[in-house]
Amino acid sequence: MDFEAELEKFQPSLDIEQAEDAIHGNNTTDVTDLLHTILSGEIEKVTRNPKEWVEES
Amino acid sequence: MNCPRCNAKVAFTKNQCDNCGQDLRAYRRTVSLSNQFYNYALSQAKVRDLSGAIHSLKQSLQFNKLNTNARNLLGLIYYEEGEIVAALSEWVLSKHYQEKGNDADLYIREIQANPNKLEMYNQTVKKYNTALHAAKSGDEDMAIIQLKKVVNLNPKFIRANQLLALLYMKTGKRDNRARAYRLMRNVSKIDVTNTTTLRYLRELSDMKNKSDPAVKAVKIERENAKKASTLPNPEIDVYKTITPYKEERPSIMPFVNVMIGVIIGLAVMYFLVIPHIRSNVASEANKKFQQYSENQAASDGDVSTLTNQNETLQARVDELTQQLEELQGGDSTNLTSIQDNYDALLDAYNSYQSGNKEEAAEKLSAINKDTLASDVAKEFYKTIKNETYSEASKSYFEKGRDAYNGEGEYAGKRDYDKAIELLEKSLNYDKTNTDSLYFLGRCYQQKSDMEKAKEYYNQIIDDYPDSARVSEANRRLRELGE
Repeated sequence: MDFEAELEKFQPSLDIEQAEDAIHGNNTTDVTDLLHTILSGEIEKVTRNPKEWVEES
Repeated sequence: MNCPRCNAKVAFTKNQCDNCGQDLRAYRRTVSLSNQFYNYALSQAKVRDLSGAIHSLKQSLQFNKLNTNARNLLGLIYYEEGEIVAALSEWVLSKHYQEKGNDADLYIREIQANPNKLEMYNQTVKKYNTALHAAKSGDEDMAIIQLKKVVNLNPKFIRANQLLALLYMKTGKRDNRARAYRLMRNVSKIDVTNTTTLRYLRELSDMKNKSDPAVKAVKIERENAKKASTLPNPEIDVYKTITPYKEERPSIMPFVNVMIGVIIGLAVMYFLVIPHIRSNVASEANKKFQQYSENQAASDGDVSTLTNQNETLQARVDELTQQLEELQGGDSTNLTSIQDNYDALLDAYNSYQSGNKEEAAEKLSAINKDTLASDVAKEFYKTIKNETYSEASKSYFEKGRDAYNGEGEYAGKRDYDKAIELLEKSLNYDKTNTDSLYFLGRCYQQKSDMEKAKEYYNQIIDDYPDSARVSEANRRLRELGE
């Protein structure tokens, strides 16, 4: 076993004083956000370029 | 499920939002996937596949970060692995995304309810970080010491256990390897699929043999440590169930406690303070009594001295009184008698000068001639006495004879008793008056007191044989049968 390599895998643990930063930094984007962005873009595009009214025959 | 566009409440089975007409199929699929990962993580967590559960929950949250259940479960798993700050972070985020009806609220309150425990966890985290820094700096011994403390305080802190096991393994000592193996065994019970733990266990597979002396030694060491840390069984009544806090209602107990306090205070006063005061008073009284006794002793001495002086003076007075008595020749108390005697002598002289010899004799008889100091007075007394006594004797004889015969002053009534009285007075002035002696004999003869009569007759015959009354006395004695 490569002890040095193993040792490098260990990362410091967050203490209470660092918790606030960790919480504020947790601004991950999930799939629902992506979906929302996509849907908002489509809506915006549709709003910007509305289809012309077509007379039905 | 909420519509991602208008946020309206929509049934999960709907393909389109009733409110805004949004197509919800993709969104529903995303949420569904998030839920599937959550369910999978839950089943993993139930069999203590915590590493797998964490992975699944993270995936679940990547699909839907608003999945509160997944986030709360992730916090719980972090908490179980000793990662308190990570757990708190997840719960705080969960609370942020869903403020109401969130179990995270309960978890946070439970952590905050015990600040000491939270502080202890924080200290373990800091010690772990210090140990990690020391280990990376090459100071493994220091790191091991710190990590031992961390593991003792928080045995479920998986990362700390793994780092300690790694450092034990690095020492290469068999007993340390045995310790590392035991640590990993314990940790594997918390998280059964932790790859790091499993790798270390495989590395330490030579420690599986229980008959190995190093393994035995570590086992004994562990048991001793467990015994030392085990508290003795408390008595059943020592600890009572902690009841929920209740607002105190007005009670009589404070008053009772105050009264008990007052009683104890009084008892202390009675048994401690008052005896002290009394002893002070007694001590003061003893001092005063001692002083008084000393004064009394001094006074007694003075009294004794005065008594002695008094006795001396009294003796002197007695001596002088005796001398005075000797000088006065009689009664010392009758100090005026000398003067009286001289007065009586002068009275007697006056009576004598006036011719009343009987009165002069009577006054003279009252005088104590021994008190007459001067020879002139004695001679004067003697002269008057010679001149008056014989006359007085004759005078009383004649009166006595008249009383006997019933003549003169006593005419017609013979009074022998009066006659005897007067005749005895006559004898007082002149003992040789044989006439008086004769008539005394006659009086007693008349009173039939023959013995007395004989006595007087015989006195005349014996003492005054030349007297003219001798023949008559003899004749009377013959009458009486003598």
